[in-house]
Amino acid sequence: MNCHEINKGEFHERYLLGKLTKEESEAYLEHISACEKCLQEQLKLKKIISGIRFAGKTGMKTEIEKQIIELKEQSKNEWKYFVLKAAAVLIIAVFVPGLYYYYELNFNETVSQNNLSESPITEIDESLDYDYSEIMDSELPTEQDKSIKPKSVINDKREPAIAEGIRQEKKDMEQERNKISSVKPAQSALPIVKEAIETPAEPDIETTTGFAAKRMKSASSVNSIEQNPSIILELEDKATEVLEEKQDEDIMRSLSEKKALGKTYPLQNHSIDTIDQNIILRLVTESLKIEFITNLTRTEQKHDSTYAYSKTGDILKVYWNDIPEKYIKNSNSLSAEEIENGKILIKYNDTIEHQIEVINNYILIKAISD
Amino acid sequence: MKKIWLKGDYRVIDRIRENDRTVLGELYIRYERMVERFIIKWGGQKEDAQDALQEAVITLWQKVCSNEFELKSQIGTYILGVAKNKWRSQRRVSNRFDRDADFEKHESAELNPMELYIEEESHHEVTDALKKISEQCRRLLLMFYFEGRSMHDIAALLNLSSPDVAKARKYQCKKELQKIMDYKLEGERF
Repeated sequence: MNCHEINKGEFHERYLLGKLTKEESEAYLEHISACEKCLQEQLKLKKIISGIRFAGKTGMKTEIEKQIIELKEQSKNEWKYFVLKAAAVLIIAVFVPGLYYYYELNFNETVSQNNLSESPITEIDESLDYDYSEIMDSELPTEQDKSIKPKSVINDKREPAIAEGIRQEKKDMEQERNKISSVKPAQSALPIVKEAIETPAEPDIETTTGFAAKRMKSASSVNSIEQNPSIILELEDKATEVLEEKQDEDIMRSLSEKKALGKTYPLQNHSIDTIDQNIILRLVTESLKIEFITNLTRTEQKHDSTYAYSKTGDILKVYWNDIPEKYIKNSNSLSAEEIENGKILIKYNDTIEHQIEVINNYILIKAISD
Repeated sequence: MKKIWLKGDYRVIDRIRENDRTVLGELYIRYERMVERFIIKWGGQKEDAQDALQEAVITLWQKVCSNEFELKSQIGTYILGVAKNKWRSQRRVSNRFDRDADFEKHESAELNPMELYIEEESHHEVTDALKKISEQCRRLLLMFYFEGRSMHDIAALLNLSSPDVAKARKYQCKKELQKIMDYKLEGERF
């Protein structure tokens, strides 16, 4: 190997870059150890390659640092953009509809209040079955509400007119309510209801209430009394109460009339649903035959009759009079529904002496002749 | 068949081959926290981690350009491995300096301060000369001697008609660089 071959074959560079084969490398090193000129050239090239590598590495490091700064700045900006985007989405998705809804609501409220002041209450559909006065009350602003006004209303030049309309509305409703309340109390309704009960041929709650309502209307000149559920309900309650009292009075009158025929005994402690011969027997013995009770030895049930025996040999018999077989579920007790007047008889020593009648919660024992 | 989990890494390799230098910063940012955590865990400083990661990214770039890199595992694993080795060797050197303050005893070429100084001076000499040659020449020389690219790749990247043209151009650029260095040296003599 000579200098010309080394230069032509770029042996210096290939050696420094590690691209020579083993044989080439040995031959190259052998020549270079003896050739000062080639050695200097190799050192010169080594310096250049080393310098280029150093410059490359330094340049690349500088480039990396520059990019890092740019990327981090970009990342910050991206985060800022993300926050801005999120805020924009939030504004579009939440605030804009919210504001729209808020102003829409205020606008509707203003319009409805404006319409309300223009239309009198008399034009309200009376077929609607509820109390307008209460609704108006809830919608009317209180003293506190007046201080809190929506922007649209505050800036609205029509506000005095609307407020005046509302005040007038409230005043009208107040007057209407006063008219109703003046005739509504139970005390004032009571005589009218009582009068109404006396008037129909067969008084019941519905007809009585209707009649009373008409009377109240004519008496008070209140137009909306039929549409006022609270007055109607109160009249119904009062009518029910008066009717029940009247029914009780009728019963008592009937009972007192019948009492003249015999003796009555309350059945409070006994079931009114079932009439038991033993109970009747006890009531009879307690009332009629004091001496019979004191001398009572035993009671006995035979078929559909109950017997009581005394020491003196007297016999008291309670039995059903002419009751169809199908009604007699138990020989000694029947339901109150199955008992008609004259169906319970008492025989004292084989002599029919008394007939039992059940009136409401009383038992009437009356003497009957043979 | 390319493994799915390495799909992003293959794209990185392609970008390096295409000389897309923006990948350098991206790689650094991507693996910065991982390398920092490792080096700080083993007693290093944040600055050590930054140096080691920069070295690792540069090494990856060189290996890919010179076709010596084969993607067997994730790039992150490779970078962490290289950074680890770089940091360890650097720490070994600094420990050796710390143990013995007498620089005269460091006779090896690698550790001789005087030689290091001369080497640094020569490096600056070349760096200055590189700034004075044409942009194409500078890029060509860096691609060949620093990145280890083949003439085929250099020709493609620098829009040269063929590898032979690139080789001829490299010869001219080297001569130009040498000339500038010699001229500067002569100027200093006189």
